[in-house]
Amino acid sequence: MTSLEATIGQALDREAAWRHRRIAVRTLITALCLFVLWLAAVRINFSFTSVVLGAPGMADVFGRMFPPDFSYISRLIAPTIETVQIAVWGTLLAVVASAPLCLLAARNTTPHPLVYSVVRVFLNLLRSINELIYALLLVSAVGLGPYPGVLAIALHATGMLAKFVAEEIEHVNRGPIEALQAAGAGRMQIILMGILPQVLPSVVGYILYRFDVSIRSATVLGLVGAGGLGFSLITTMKMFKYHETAASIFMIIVLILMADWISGRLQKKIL
Amino acid sequence: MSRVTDYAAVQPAPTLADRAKFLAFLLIAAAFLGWSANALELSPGELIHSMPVIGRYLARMFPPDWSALQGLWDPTVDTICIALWGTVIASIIGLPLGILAAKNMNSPAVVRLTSLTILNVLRSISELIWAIFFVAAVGLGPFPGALALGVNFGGILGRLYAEAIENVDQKPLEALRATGANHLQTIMFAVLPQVLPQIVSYNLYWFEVGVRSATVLGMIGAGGIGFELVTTIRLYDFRQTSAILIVILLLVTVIDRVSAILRRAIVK
Repeated sequence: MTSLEATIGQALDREAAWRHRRIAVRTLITALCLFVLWLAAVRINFSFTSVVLGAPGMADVFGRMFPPDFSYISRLIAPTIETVQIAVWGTLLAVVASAPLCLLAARNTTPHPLVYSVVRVFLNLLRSINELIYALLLVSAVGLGPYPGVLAIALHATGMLAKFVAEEIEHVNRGPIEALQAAGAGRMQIILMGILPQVLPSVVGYILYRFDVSIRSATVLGLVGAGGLGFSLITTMKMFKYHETAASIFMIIVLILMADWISGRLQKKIL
Repeated sequence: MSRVTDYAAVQPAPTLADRAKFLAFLLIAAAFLGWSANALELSPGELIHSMPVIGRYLARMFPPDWSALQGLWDPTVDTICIALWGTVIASIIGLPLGILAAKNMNSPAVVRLTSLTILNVLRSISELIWAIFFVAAVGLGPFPGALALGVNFGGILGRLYAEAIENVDQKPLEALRATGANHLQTIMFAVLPQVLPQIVSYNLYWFEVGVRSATVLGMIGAGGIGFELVTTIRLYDFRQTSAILIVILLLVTVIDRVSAILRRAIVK
């Protein structure tokens, strides 16, 4: 009896000690997080007072923007179409470029492990640099206009699409591929008949997702002179025509929500 | 003969109308692409013509001029801090709006629609455009950058939170309600514990995205490494540009790795 009580008592003690240790560790982690946040806040001059003090300035900007000049929208149709065109062609070029790259970057289709590593690093490089940086560099190389915007989106989207699709290829079902190999199919035939049908639905999904992201990027590339709605936004702003800026922002919101809705519908239809 | 009919029953042959529709779709798509390429002045000739120009620019970036690293420490740390606080502000904005916007939280229709609309507007306007406004309001520096990221990501995270909340197991909620818990208590003890791992994982992922975004916020004066980058490009000092680009690549890679490790630890 006593020994049972003792055992239970010991177990309870151990349980309590374990719980205390867990609480201590959690408190420590929380305190550490808060400390890091506090340091970061000091660094970026986080201050509620500057928000409060800035509020009238903000209200002033918004006040000057309202009401949006909706008559300006007729002149925003062309930039809106241009934005869509930039996104479409940027994404399309990326699809073309990533078709060979994704095969090289998947472990099961790459010709050599070295090729695999090199292509993977290259794709990571492409993805890590923001579209805006590409656009800025390309604008200074080939001049203002939508063309550098298309290339900027294509570069970033290639890194993203090729990586996603490569991972999809790595996870295909081996069965059909082994069957094709047994039947004496060549490399190209295995890719076309064994791998492509398996990854096609998710590839279409990724392309739609990326198109959504491309539209979003295309609305801001104009800030650095690469065409589209962002260019209207920044030029009207620089000319202090805030009512027209508000109309541009309105158009951006409409465009993005529409793209969201359409790609959501298409995705549902395909999957 | 019967085999043919059987096959046809399993897989109906495309009718003439289906084929016509498909053909029409292809033609329209091709026409749109051709028209767009024309409008964008995009042609194989242009591509081939511009490649040497871009190549020359790339050549001017090498070798990287490491003297650009001097004084780059502060903007790099700023970039991380902007992303960190941007994500924190985003959760503060996103969580209440996400709860109000979730279908299963039974908010009044007006409240739900309003929250959804706010979230949609917040996420549709890019952080760069928000940054222009916040710089106008609170002045140059990293703080408006963090606010801009926070507002834009708040819209994105709010929507993701709402989706996560809509997918929770309803039983704990019903159990708590049956014991007489009020709305706030239900959220605190039945909803949040269920979605917390997902919320943390989303936050870490958007922190990564935030670091990438914060590298360009400096272009419009909202702090971080983007300002140094733009300056070198404007001065045509491309060898310094490439040194800064390498720093950005390292920064993004390190942050990705750390956040991937943290996410794995939390999901486990």
